[in-house]
Amino acid sequence: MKITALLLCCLGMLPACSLYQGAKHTFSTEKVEPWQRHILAQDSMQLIPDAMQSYADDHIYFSKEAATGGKGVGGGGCGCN
Amino acid sequence: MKSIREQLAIAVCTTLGGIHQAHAIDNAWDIDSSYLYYSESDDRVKVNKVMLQIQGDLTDDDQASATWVLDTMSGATPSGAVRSENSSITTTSASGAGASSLNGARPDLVGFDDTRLAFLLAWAHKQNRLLTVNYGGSVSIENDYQSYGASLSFNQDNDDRSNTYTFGTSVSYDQIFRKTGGTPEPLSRVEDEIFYPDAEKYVYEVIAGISHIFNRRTVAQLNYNVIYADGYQTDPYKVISMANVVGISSDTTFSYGEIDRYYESRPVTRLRNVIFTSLAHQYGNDNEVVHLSYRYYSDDWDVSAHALDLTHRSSTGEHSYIEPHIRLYTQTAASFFIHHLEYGQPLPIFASADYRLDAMRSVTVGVQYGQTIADGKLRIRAEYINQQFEEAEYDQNRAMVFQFSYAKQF
Repeated sequence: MKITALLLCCLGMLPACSLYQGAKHTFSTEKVEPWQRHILAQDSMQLIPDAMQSYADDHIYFSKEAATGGKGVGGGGCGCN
Repeated sequence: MKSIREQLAIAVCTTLGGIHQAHAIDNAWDIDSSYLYYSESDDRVKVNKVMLQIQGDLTDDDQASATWVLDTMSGATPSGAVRSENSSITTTSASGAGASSLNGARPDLVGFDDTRLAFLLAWAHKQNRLLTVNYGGSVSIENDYQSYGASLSFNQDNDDRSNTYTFGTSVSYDQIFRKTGGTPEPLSRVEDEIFYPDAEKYVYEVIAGISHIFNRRTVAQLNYNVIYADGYQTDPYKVISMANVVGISSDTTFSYGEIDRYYESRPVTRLRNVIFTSLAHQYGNDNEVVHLSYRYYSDDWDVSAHALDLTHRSSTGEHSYIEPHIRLYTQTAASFFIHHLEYGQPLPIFASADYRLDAMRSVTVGVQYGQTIADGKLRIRAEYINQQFEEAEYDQNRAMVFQFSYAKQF
C-alpha cells in the first residue's frame, strides 16, 4: 500500500518535474556568439514569424474584442464591424 | 526619380564586392502577398482581405517596406437593439450601407457593406552598429472612417547583442462619420435624427520593451504599451433599446418589448495599459518551434483582458511544416455596457449595448501548413473563432478564417 502511494505520488510529480526541467532548459542562459545564431536567425524563430498573419490577426481581434495593443506602435484604421 | 530597384542596383554595383554583391541582390526584394477570407456564421460579417508587402534594402543601412491592404466587408452585424417582435422603429444600416433601413424588420441585426484601403510605409535606418531607428506612416480610408498615423521607434542593442531595448511612440488622427455624413448625438432618440458634424479622435501610443536571447534556441520579449485615445469613440451606428421584459422562456431566456431606441454613448477618453510577453523556442532534431505569448490588458473603461496564444511548428518534410494554433481570450465588460435601457429610469451619461464591450470568453483553434514552392514560401491556414458573451443580445459569434500567403525573394 505504501509502495503504491509512493508510486502514485511520484507519478503525480512527473508532470511538474517535466515542466520544471523544460523551463530550466528553455531559459538556461548562455552567451551566444554571432556565429552561433543560425537557429535564432531562422524565420520561424522571429518573435513575429509571419507579418501578414500577425497583421491580419491583429485586425480581426481589434475589430472583435475590446482589448488591443502590446506588440508595437503604429498602424491604424478601423474596419470595425 | 529612380526606382528602388535602380537605386539598389547602383548601390550594389558601386559599393560591394562580388560575393557580397550576390548576397545583397539575393536579399534585395522580399515580396509577400496574402488573401484572407473571414466569415461569421448566421450570415453575419464577411470580409475579403488582400495584402501585399514589398520590402527591400535601400542601402547597407536602410531598409524600407510598403504594405497595401484592401478589405471588402459585407453582411450583417448586431446593432445593439434587442430582438423585439413588435418594434416599428427604424434602424439605419451600419457602416457604409447608406440611408437604407430595415423598417424595423430586423432592428437587432443590420446589413452593411464597406471597403477599406490601407497603406503602410516603414523605413528602418541603422544609425550605428547597435542602434536602429524606425520610421512609420499609415493611411486607412473607409467609407465612414479615415485614419492617418505616424510612428517613431528605436531599437538599441547591448554590446554582445543579447538584449535589444525598444522605445517607440506613435500618434494617429482619425475622422469618424456615417456614410451619409455626420455623427448622431450620443444617447439621442433614433427617431429624432439629431446629428453633429463629422467627429475626430487622436490616439497616442508609447511602448517600451526588451527582447533577450537566453540561449541558442530561445528568445523572449517583454513590452509595456500605453495607449491614450482622446475624441469621438462612440460607434455612430450602434444603438441601444429602451425595453421591457415581456416574457421568459423555460430556459430563462428573456424576450423584450422595445419601447424606444437611442444611439449609444461612450466616454471621449480612453487610457489603455498593456503588458505583452512572448517567447520563441526551438527544440528537438526536427526543428520544432514553440511560440508562446501572453497579454494583459486593462483600461479605464473597466475592461481587463487576458490573451494566451500558443503555436507549435513541426517539420513534415525537408521543405514543409505544420503548425497547430490555439488562442484563449477573456475580458470583463466595460463599465457602461448594458443590455438595454430600463423604461422609466433616467438615461445614463454613457451606455452601449455593443457586444464587443460585454464580458466574453473566446477560443481560437487553427492550423497552418507551410511549404517551399518555387523558392517561395507558401502558407495556408484555417482557423475557427468562437466568442461567448455574457449579456449581449447575441451571446455567441462563430467565425472561420482562411488565409493563403505566398512570399518570395527577388
